[in-house]
Amino acid sequence: MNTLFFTLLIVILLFILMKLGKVRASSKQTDRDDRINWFGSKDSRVDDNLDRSNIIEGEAEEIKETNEKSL
Amino acid sequence: MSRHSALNTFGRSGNPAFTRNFTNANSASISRTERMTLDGAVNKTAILMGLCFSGAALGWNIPVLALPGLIIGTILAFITIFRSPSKAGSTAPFYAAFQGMALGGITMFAETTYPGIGIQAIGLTFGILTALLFCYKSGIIKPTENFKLMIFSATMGIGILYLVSFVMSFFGSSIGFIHSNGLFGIGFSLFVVAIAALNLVLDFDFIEEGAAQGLPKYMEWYGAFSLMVTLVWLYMEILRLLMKLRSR
Repeated sequence: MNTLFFTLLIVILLFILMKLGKVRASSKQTDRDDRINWFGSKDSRVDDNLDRSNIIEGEAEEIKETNEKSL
Repeated sequence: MSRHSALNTFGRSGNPAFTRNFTNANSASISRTERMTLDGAVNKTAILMGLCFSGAALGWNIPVLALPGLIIGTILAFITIFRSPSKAGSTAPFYAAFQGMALGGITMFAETTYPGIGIQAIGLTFGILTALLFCYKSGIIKPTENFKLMIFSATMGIGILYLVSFVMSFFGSSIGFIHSNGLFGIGFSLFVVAIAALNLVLDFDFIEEGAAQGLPKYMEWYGAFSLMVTLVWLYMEILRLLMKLRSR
C-alpha cells in the first residue's frame, strides 16, 4: 500500500516537474544585477571600467578661483 | 577583475563543468531554431530520466550490472565534462542509462536489508527537486556569484574528502565518521544532502541563463546532463542517509 502511494506521488511529482520546468523564472529572479555570469557575457560593466583608462587626452587647464566663482 | 574579492583570489569556479568558455558558442550568427530553449532542455532532462529509470529496472533485475554500470557511467561523465560540451548529445543518454543500472543494483542491495528504502529515497529526491525548482522559479532562492562560490567550495571539499577516504580504503583504513551511523555521521550526511540539493539551484540557473542567452542547441543536452549528474548524486546521498538512520 505504501509503495503504491509513493509511486503515485512520484508520478504526480514528475508531472509537476515537467510543467513547472517549462515555465520561465519570475522577473524577481531574472531582473537582478547580482546574477551569476555563467558565460562571461559583457554584463560585467564594472570589470570593463576597471580595465579601461579614464585619462582624457589634451592640455591641462588651471582653474582659478575667479573662474569658479563666475561658474 | 571581478567586483567580488573572493572571486579575484580563487578564480570564477573550480568546477570543470562550468569553467569552459562558452563565449564562442554565444554568437549572433546562430539562427533561432538552432538556439537552446528552456522547453528543449526540460524535454531532454525527461529523456535522460526515462533512460535512467530503464537502466535502473535492468540493474534491479540483474544486480551484477551495478559495478560495471557505475564504472562506465563515471567514465562517460568525465568524457562529457572534459571533452567539448557539443558531444553531450551522444554521451549523456549512455551516461544516464549506465548510471541507472548502477542505481538500480545499489537500491536492490539496500532494499534487501531495509525494505521500502528505495521508494522513500526516490520520493525524497523528487520532492526536493520539485520544491527547489518552485523556489528558484518564483525567486525565493536567488543564486549569486558568492552563492556559487560557496557551493562549489563545499562540493570540492566533499569530493576531496571522499577521494581521501577511497584511497585510504586500499590501506585498510578509512575516515570513520563519514560512514558511521552516529550523530556525527548523520550530521555529515545531512550536510552533503543539503550541498547536493543546492547544486540543483545552480543547474536551474545555468539552464535558464543558457536559454536566455541563446546558446547553441547542443547546450540543452549539456544542461540536462549536469542536472542528471546532480540528481544521481543527491539520490545516492539520500539513500546513504536513510540507511544510516534505519541502521540505528
